[in-house]
Amino acid sequence: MLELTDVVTTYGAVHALDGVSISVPDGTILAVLGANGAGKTTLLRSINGLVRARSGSIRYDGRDLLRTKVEDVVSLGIAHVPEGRGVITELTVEENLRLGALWRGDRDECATNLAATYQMFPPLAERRNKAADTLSGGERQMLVVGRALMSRPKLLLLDEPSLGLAPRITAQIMATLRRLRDEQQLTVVLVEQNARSALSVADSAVVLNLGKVVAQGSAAELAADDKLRHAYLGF
Amino acid sequence: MPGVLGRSTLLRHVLFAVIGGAALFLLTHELGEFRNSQLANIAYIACATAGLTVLTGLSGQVSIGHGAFMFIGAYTAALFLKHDLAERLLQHSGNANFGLIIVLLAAVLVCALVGGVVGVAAARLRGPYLAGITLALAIGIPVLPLWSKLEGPLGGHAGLPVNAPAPPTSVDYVRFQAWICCLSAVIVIFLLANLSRSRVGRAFRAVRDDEISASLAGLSVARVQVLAFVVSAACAGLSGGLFAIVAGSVGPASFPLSLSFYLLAAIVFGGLGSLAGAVYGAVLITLLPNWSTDIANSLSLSMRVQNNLPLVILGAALIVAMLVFPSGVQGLLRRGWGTVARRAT
Amino acid sequence: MTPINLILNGIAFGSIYAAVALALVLIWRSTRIVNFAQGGMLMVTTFIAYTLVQEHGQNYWVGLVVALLAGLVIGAVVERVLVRPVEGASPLNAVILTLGLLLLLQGGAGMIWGNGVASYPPAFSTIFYRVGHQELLFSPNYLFVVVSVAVVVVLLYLLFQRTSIGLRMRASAFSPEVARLLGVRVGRMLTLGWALAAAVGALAGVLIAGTAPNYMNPNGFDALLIYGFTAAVIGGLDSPIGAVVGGLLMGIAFAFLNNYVSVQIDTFYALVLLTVVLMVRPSGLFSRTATRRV
Repeated sequence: MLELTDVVTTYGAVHALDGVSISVPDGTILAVLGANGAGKTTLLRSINGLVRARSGSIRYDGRDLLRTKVEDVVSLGIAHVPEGRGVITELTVEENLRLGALWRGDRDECATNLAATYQMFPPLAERRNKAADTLSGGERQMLVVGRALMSRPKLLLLDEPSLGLAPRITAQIMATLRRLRDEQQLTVVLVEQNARSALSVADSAVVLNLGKVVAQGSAAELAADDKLRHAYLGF
Repeated sequence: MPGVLGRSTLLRHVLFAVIGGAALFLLTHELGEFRNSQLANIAYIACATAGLTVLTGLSGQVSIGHGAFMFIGAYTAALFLKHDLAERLLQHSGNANFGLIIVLLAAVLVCALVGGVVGVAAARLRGPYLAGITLALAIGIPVLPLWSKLEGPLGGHAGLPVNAPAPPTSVDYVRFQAWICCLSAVIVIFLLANLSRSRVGRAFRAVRDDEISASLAGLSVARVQVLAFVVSAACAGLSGGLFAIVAGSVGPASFPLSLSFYLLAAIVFGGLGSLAGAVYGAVLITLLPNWSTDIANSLSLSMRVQNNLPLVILGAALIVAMLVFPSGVQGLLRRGWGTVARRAT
Repeated sequence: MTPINLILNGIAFGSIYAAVALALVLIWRSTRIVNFAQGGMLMVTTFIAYTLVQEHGQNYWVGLVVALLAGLVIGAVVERVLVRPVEGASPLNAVILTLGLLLLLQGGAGMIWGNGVASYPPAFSTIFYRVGHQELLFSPNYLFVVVSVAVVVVLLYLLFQRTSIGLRMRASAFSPEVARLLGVRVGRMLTLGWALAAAVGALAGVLIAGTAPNYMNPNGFDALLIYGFTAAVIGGLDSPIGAVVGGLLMGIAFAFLNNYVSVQIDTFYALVLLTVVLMVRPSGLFSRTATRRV
């Protein structure tokens, strides 16, 4: 269970997160929505420790994430696919994937995970030894999701996976997330600008505006709320 | 060249220059031979450091190679004196001191030219690449006299003797040298102070702080940077020329790599930010060997330790300065030269 | 002097320049800093070896191994203590910091070992090979120089391309933030990078001290830094292969220039080469294009 309580994160004088409280039960998909600059990316970065929250608490499975170093977060079962994807273009596809499992140190498990990932994302298998910068946008998204999954996470943080992708590919990725939630009880926190597709796959959703939570509830509820949709979600 | 300069600023600079010059002149009469030669030393180094602080502090281009420009200036002066070029130019063996001015001017102009060439090459380079090429300059230029073809004219390892013209009679030789060096330093600092306050100086700062904005505002970034190199090289050339006259001879061994390091250290410590700082820095690196000799003697340290003490002190101090100042170089720059006030658009 | 001889000679010295260039490239790739103190660091490790070999009678190989180990230690300590604080800041800070370190190392070495020129033994015989009646400008010592650098290059290649620690190091160099998200201890990888680079530099120091006269004094290795830097720029500051190729090309160029133009002015040749490369192809022969895309 991921729990944020009254989290405040600042960049200088700007309160990017201004008292955010959210809980995400295991095995569910939470969509985090809102306009640009609402604080969605800061939320994910605060969970990981890339930026330190000034006050409040962030706990996962009882562990205090505010006291955890960035490098150690993945060993708690949290994987983060950052804004801009984070493909390491100088490495090959397979090297990117192997990097995801490295912290585990178990070679056999790494090989198994690799095989599973290639099965899940066949285009990656075709290009396994090519440099990652030869991949298309959709393939890169598959790569970073696959890389995140290589670490066998229990919680997956995804920052705008649909950015720049064709709707068909976005749908594919969302379907994969749904399957992982069903089959492996993967918990997902999904930050998205494309609210419509996010709400279609999420269980619950939270809407941020200027660092504050302005709406919270099940995905169905929020999707049905016309006023909310027009005001914050653009459809 | 200075462009529009406030009349009060110019007046103030003239006042300082005159007062400073007079004070130094009196000082040279008070001091004995040893102190006067130290004063001469400080003064010609100050010419070089003043130029370097304009380049690195005001214009933001780091140079670890100014020893090379001093070398060029010194050898130019030596060659002019060796071949009596000044006399031939003046076409009469009149006042030897005019000859001296010609010799120093030659050193300045030759270095300005070379500085321009280096500046053009350096204008495209940033950060470590620029530092690297100036370092190559510092090591690569002073070996030229060792080239077999140039060994004759340039004197090879042993170098060239410098036949400085005799001072007017009844003037003590060392006092005369101190006076020429001080006068040169005062003139250099006066000119650079005016430059810094002028439109050109503002252009230097603008390019240093934000090249993109500066070029959008219509400044030619490359031209500004080349100009900064020309100015600073000219100052170093003057410094070299004075060095030649004071030292009485020039050779490759007088221009080791550590000279360029000392110059850079001088302006870092004097405060990357100001002409006054350049002078403090010059005092520091000129007197540091003496101070460390005194320390070494009082602690009865060996010759080896004594000779290397200045290096160790400077090196450690540079490291500590970079580690302790949170804003490092940028902080020093801002405190000293200041930034250009941005105009709201 | 026949061209073959010049090329052989050039390859021998070029291997040493390549090693220094490689050290600089390793550090540049991981921390985006040009280590101007590299010459000083390898000077100190060579002097440590010198103390063991010339003053305490140890054999050459002990000296070499100790120099390499000393390099690892110096590199790690310098990165962790001195460079880490300035890693994110303006490049000028790192330039002045590494220069300060160079001064400190030179002064310190002068205090401990004096400023005179000492001598360091070569690994093997320096008598040139003969082919029939012809004397080659190549000796067993030169062969050792080339082979040892080649071995190091191959080992580093295997380390970086085939091991997981090498993968971690590359990830830390290319995308430190992403690497941290994936659990890589980026700081440790950077320290390791500096340690390896300093060890490679230490090898270069021992090799050149035993191969060329006049190097073995506190200021003697300054030129080597410039040669290494020029070679690295020729190959592309980002490219280890470029460093090796650049070093070899430079060694050969110097051999020809020394023969046809003049000896004693290698640093001037380096200046000219560096200027030409920076004017014509500043990113070097082997660099990938500027920006990294994600």
